[in-house]
Amino acid sequence: MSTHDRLHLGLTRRHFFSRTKYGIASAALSSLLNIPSTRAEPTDTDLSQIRHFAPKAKRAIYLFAAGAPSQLDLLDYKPKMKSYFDKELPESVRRGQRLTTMTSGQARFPIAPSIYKFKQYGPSGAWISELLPYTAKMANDIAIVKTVWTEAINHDPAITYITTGDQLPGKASLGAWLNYGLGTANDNLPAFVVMTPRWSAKRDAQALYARLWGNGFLPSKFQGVALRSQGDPVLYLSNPSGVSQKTRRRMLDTLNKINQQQFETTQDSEIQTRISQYEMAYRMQISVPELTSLSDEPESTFKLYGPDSRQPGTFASSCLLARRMTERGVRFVQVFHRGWDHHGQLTRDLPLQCRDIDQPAYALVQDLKQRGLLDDTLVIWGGEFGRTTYCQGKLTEESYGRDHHPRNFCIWMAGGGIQGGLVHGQTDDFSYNITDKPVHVRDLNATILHCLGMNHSNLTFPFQGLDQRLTGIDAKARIIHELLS
Amino acid sequence: MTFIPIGQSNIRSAILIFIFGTLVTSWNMAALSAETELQFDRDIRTILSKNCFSCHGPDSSKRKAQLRLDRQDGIFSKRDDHAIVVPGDSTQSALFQRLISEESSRRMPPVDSGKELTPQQIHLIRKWIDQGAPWQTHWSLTTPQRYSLPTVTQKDWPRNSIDYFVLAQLEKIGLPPSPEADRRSLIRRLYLDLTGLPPESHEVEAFVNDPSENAYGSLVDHLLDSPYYGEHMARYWLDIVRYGDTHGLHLDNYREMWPYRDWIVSAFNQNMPFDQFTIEQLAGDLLPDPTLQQQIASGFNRCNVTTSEGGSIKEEVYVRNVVDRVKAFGTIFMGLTTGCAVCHDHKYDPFSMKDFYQLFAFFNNIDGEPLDGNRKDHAPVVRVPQIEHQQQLQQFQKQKNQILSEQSIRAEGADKDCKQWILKTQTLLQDNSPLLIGLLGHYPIDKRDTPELINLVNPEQKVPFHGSTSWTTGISREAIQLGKEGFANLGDIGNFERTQPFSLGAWIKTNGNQEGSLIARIDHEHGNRGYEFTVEKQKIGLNLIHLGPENTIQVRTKENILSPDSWTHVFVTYDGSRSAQGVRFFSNGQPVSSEIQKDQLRGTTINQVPLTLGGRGDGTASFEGEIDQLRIYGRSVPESLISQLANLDPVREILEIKAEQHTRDQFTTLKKQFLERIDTRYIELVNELQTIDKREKEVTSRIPTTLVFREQSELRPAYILVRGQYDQKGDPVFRESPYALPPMNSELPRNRLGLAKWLLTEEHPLMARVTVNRFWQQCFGRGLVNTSEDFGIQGERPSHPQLLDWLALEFREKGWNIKSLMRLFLTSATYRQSSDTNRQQQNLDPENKLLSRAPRFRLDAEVLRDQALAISGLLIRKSGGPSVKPPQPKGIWNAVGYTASDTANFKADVGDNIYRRSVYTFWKRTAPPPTMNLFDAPSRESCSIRRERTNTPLQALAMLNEVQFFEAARHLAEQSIRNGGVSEQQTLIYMFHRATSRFPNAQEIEALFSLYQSNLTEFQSDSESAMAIVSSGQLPPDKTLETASLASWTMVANVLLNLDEVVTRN
Repeated sequence: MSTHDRLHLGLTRRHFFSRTKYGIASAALSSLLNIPSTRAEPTDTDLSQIRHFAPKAKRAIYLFAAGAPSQLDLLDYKPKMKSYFDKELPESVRRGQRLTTMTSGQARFPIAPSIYKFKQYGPSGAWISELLPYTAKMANDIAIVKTVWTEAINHDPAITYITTGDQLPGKASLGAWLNYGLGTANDNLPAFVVMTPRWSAKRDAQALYARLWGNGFLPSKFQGVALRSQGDPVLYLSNPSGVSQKTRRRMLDTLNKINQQQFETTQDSEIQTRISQYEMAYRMQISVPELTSLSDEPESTFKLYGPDSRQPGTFASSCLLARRMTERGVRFVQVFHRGWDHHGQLTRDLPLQCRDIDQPAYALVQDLKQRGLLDDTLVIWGGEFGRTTYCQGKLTEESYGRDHHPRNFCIWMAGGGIQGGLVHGQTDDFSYNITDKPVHVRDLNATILHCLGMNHSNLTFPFQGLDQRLTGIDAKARIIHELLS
Repeated sequence: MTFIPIGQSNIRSAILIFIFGTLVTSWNMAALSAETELQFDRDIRTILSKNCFSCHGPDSSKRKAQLRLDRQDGIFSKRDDHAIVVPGDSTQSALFQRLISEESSRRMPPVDSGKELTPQQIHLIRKWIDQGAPWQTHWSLTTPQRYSLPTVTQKDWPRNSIDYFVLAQLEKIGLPPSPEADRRSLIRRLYLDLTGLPPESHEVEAFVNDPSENAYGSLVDHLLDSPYYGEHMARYWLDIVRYGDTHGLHLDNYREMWPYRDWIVSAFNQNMPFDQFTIEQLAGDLLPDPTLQQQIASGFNRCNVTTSEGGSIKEEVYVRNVVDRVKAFGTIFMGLTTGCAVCHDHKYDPFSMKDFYQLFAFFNNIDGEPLDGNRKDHAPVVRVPQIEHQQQLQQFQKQKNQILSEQSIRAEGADKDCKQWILKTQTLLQDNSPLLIGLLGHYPIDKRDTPELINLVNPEQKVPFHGSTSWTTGISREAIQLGKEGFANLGDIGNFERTQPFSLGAWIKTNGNQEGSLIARIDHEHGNRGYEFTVEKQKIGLNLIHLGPENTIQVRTKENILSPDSWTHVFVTYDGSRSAQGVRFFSNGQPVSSEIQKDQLRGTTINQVPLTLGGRGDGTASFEGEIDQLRIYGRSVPESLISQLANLDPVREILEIKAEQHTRDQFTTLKKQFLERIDTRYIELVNELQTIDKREKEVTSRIPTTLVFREQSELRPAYILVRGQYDQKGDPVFRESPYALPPMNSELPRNRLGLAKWLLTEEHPLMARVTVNRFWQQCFGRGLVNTSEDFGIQGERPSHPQLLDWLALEFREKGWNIKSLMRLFLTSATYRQSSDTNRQQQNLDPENKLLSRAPRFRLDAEVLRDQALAISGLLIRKSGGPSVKPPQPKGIWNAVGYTASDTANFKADVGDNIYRRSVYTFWKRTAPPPTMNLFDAPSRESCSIRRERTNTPLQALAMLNEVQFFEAARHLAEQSIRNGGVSEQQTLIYMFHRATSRFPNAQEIEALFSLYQSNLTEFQSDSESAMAIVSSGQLPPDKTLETASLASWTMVANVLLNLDEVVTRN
């Protein structure tokens, strides 16, 4: 990045977004420069400053499997384990690796081979479990990374780590960083939207935390906006009962008029920003319901995404909404699907979870492709860590559970910037250690930023005397070039 | 600068600077001008720290070429053939030469570092060297100095010392201060800044019309005395200390901590000096004989987030908790980002890992578990009785004293009755005693029986114990303690048919967690035929079995009757009726209710197996515990005798002695038994006492708790943790202050109390500066040091360094008096300026760093909500107590909550609680209240010293539509119609005045009135909408008001509550 870029970045980031003369974001800028504020894809004024190369992806969708799906039963095929049924995990494999206190007291660590059948798909010959038949169909489109790893061993720190770059609360989330770095492409919708659909496994599900899409030290305008499946899709979107859009318009006209007078006295440009924010709120009242109403979708859409897609609050409908948002220029959509924490009864719950996500995720990728959006939309699926090859609790031929395993887990990526149809990395026969091409969660995030045209070491924000980064202040993060198209 | 080519990028930079007009701040503008003497600390260090320190700074592990540019000895160090800096000669100084080197391999910073100096920065370094390279310590690490007031030209402007410092700088760049704001703006500003609430209309007018010279000063004093002052001040502190009502991690369950919040409110209201405020929070528990309040204050150290996630490794969580406390300590009291030094020496500040872990050692000794157990009262805690609890407890104590005195009166007069009882009871020990009727077996189980068990009914029959048994003290002489394997085979006794009445009884003592057969005659080879007397944790039961598990009678006690580890006399009778109804249980002689589980006994219970004590005889259902005085009757013993049995056994030994031979002690024992077991009056008193004890316990359990800090007695050793890893212990460390700061006086105790006192010493460069800066930020919108959370080398330098020092000294020397400090701020001419701005100010001081006008900023989340409630008259001004839950949209909590969390489901309060001030709003840290969160309130998961102030459409939606904001509009409309006056114009003016503290101008009246009219016309023909509008919120609308009119005024009020002027601190 050249000096002038950095200088300008300093200006745009510090002043542009803080409460100063030039107020907030492009809405304010556009009003000052007399740019019409509704536009499909705005001039990338912000982006050119922070990007040092042409991005492959302009936006991203992250399908998060919260609770940590079992890589052993989905994407990391370990046929040798069949002969290890109920045998002890060799110490040569475990190598004193620390365990959670949920299983560290177990007298034995018997191997639980996956009961699911795997077949090879696509040019890379990726092994994919029978639980993911639709995912298998798109083996050509996705890059499977089998060797993501993390240091965190429990859910709260791990999910906080992968989404904010730190195990402890207080940092900005990936989405907030993207929002900060990319800016908005549609003034009528939030740039970063989060959905938390319901799940089918009936057990207690791990919690989510607002911090996972929070702004941390970044200004709060960068936090994710939850798109809700009950009540208003966006908080406080609807007018109070009895207030029509016409009444609201009249009320805003009066408000703007008096605020404008106030501006003339005080000369505080923040008032102009406020007026434009109220106007954007008004536009959102129209654009958000238009976004969430699926009435204009043809029958073929619902067929593609599956019957659940008609039910608000399902993973399928979230995927469909994600596509609709992508079309409208929402920069980042993150869907947190819970219920993947299978310490016991994995064989009962994992198929239910897979059924939730398999067809919709496939549909999303295909739908984006059909519409020519996949080339510049990055899609990611994955959880916060993996699960153990050894059984937690009772092991039978049909039933087992798996504890937390941070040393390797699988994710897949597709679309903008990613080369489809490949498998990255290798683990040992037990799916317990990485034998080739490790990808730390920081590397994953650096790669995501890269696909979106940002250098993770340059995307910084000064806080507490440090140039904060998603990938940590001084830890090394690597872009995984092998994955890139 | 000629030798540095100015490329296109520089021209563009210059243009950008011109366009945005914000980058060049006053001092570096001064620095660029030729005549100024450059200072290392002011002009040079930041350049070096940003570009060089990561390799040539404090972090020893990353240091290259053994060169340190953050220290004087490093900067002026000499190498073999050159020096880093030669004062006065940049051509001989490697520092400069390497910056401009043509050779890319020699040029600093290295290309791959991603760092690059601007030509201006390189020029500054050169100039500084050529000027003689004067060196200074980083400003915030030097002791504050007392500066004399600068001289100013505009002598009539300053009102107090602050103004001299401010004016002097303004005059330097030729910018005049702004005129004083009008009184309406001032009163609103003062109210909002000091109480977080707007003034009432009459207060505004009283102030505007107050002719007295000291009108302003008295208003400030009045507000400083307001109880709302403490609530408002506390709010900032709660952000700082990351106070929340939940644990913050994983389950994020409820944490009971509000007494600490109330302590903060009250400390500010009492104007507790800030030194005491600091000591009590950091170390209240270490003060001599700490009061309850001082212990509550120590909860400061417990505000960090905690977890109890399954699978967590205790030591790891323990270290995280301590690290969090140390970081909070550094940020809050010293403005230092100590957290960097958890894993390595600080990159920029002179703060090493050793420094960090030395501080760690101070916080390393909590007397409690690291995992919170998902409990609201994660120990250590204290109970905090509220007034109502204190009153109740005192009342109980009084009643108890009364009963105790009645007991002793009764005891003194009971000798005669007692003696009669002794004589009567002794007859029960005689041969013709009714207790002997139907008695088949009586096993006293005393040691003299050893090694075998004797049945007094048939003393010839002796049976041995098997397995693990030992003797122990019984209810009467010794008893047997049976381990898991222990049992005795009593032989062919008690072979009862289902039609045969029988009774079984004994004294037993268990840990309350045992399950097994006390006595059993069960034939497991024939469907468990027979019977057994069972113990089920704290209940007892009887099973009569023909063919298990269905063809049986199964009964057990409904309530728990066995207190763990104490003797209970258990007894069961069966009347031979073949029905479960025929089974009765007794505990200590008293009948207890039972619960029938099966009642289907068809067929005999006779079997051919022996009776077993302590299990079923086949190794199953074994009983563990102590047994004494076992009795087996072939009849259903009447209730009166059972109670006599229970009363007799404990004193059996004494009763066997003739009455006239009893010693005094023996008589006392008997009398105790008589009083507690037999004497109706005395028992009545005992029962009353128990009732009160129970109620007392119940009240005590309702007393709120709050988390506190307490040291464990043995000091935990502390170590440097290699790379911050909890399990990688390095060198041991001891409690010491950081090296770069003044040493801790040897007389100070090496604990948190000593640490707090060290902060407060005169030499401490940071504590007072950091503190006054934060209060300044509160009143002036930004700190004199804008990065109020970071006074380190990477932080911003103060805009008014001399003023900051002057205030720090003033604050400390005048006794850390917060109200005085606030008063000083608020009575300055600087504070009293108008916030209107003009082109000159925007050009010369765009960010208002130089304070050429009063700041204008959007009110904080809490103030916005409280203000709307106050303007509309909905606000309930009750202070203190548990946090409250105003309404929020459905699903905010359970969209994220762990399903088993006790805060997974939100239920709003009803009634007054929803209208209370936001400082009392329940704060769930993983899903904070949405109206707070949208307006930049932090999640309270980590310390937050300053909030951002953003302006977003989501905020607009909340202000327009959120149910409480809209109810406030409706309520304001009602108030205005009722109280404004008869005409519509009066209604409007009243409403406008309440919202803005001023009267509307003609244009405003026109605009608002025309809105009212258009709405009115519409609502008159659309009564349904009008009705819906007036019915919003919790309170029902005023029925006496005309609906269409109220709805129209509501929309006008909705405008007013959204006015920029109203949501802004002007």
